[in-house]
Amino acid sequence: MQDQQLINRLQAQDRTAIGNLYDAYGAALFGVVLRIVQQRELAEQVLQDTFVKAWRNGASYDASKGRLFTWLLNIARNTAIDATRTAHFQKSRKTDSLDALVYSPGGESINPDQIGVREVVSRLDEKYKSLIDLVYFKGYTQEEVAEETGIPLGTIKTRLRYAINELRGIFVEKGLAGLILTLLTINQ
Amino acid sequence: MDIQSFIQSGLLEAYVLGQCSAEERAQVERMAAEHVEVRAELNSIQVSLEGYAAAHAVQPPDWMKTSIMERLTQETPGHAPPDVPAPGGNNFPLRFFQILAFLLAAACAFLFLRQKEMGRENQELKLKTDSIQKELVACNQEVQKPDPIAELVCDPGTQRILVSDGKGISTIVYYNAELKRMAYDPYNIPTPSDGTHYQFWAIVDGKPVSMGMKAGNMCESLRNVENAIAFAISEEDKPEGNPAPTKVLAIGKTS
Repeated sequence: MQDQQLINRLQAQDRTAIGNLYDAYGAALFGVVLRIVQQRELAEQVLQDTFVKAWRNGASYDASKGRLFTWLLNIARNTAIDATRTAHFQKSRKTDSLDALVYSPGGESINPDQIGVREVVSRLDEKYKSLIDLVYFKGYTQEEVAEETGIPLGTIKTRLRYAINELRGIFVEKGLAGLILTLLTINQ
Repeated sequence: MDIQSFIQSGLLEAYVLGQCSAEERAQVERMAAEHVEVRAELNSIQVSLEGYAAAHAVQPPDWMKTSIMERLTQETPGHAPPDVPAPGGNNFPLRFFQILAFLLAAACAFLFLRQKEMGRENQELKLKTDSIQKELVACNQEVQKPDPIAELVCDPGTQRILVSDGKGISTIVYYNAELKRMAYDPYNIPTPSDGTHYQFWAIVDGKPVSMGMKAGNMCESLRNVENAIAFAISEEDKPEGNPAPTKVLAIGKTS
């Protein structure tokens, strides 16, 4: 599903490529960022920073090293995680629930197909979700999780592999991989 | 380096999550360049995590795209503001010391205020660390629940047997002769065309024993089996499979 023309335009720092990437991946990136920073305004700032960084670093994207969406996700995650580590963020931390942020008047309603997928993902066994959340949304390395929990690193690695396998099972089994990729396909 | 151990090492997940050191990155990229199984696994992990991210999608506000595109126009080189011209030369020594004095005073004030701020920051960080600690204890409890697949995969006696036709169909079968159990990862097996179905087999005492039709996920593939000398994948014409393999596509032998 990699679009070679889009990749070429990104690497040439063509600004319209960023527009296409926003259309395709903006919502998914926003969802991830929201989950990490848990503050609406900060998430909006981080999302903008993400796309600006993607443009600035477009020339260095190397398709042989990984998929484009993964590259964008890592920029978004790193920017978001860095934002949670500033002193300013620590001070301004609110206690809004994530649901309130997601359904606040400023945002549009969520595509019902995406809700269906979300329900399926939420049925993932809790122990695997916890691990993916720690590693994916909180930015812990596997070593850090092992150190903090006292669980052997080997077990953590196996667990994470298994958790990711469970995700594959959900998408492949229900034919959702195609659905999600279709949802994210550029509709021009 | 044994490819299967490399794939199981957790390094690939760390690479996809951007959590590797520079040396580890170089190692992963080298292994991926040299081995198609490593490339395939990297790709699978990326797709799984991308799907997970997409499942949490939230539509950003309407103004977001325009705002981003506007910021990009400001980013273009050539829009940088012109340099401020240097001040006159005559007053140079006096000016210099005035500016220096001002800067020193400002630095002192800043450091003093920062000192106070850091005291507060430390307190808040401690609170945050405590709450993270509690979260990790909860996660710990979740993660320690027993799990037959993980037990199989982790057990030192478990063999990893590649069942592959060298073309498009491949899987790793995890078989433990003592635990008398096997499981496999069905994700590298493509969906067969309509009317054909893949069935799994263990070869026991020279005879093929059905291990079921291709599983939806690794959990479903778990089966009890003993004295297996090989595992195979066959193509069948019925969705429920056949009592004996019709057309064997791939075989892997145990050690």
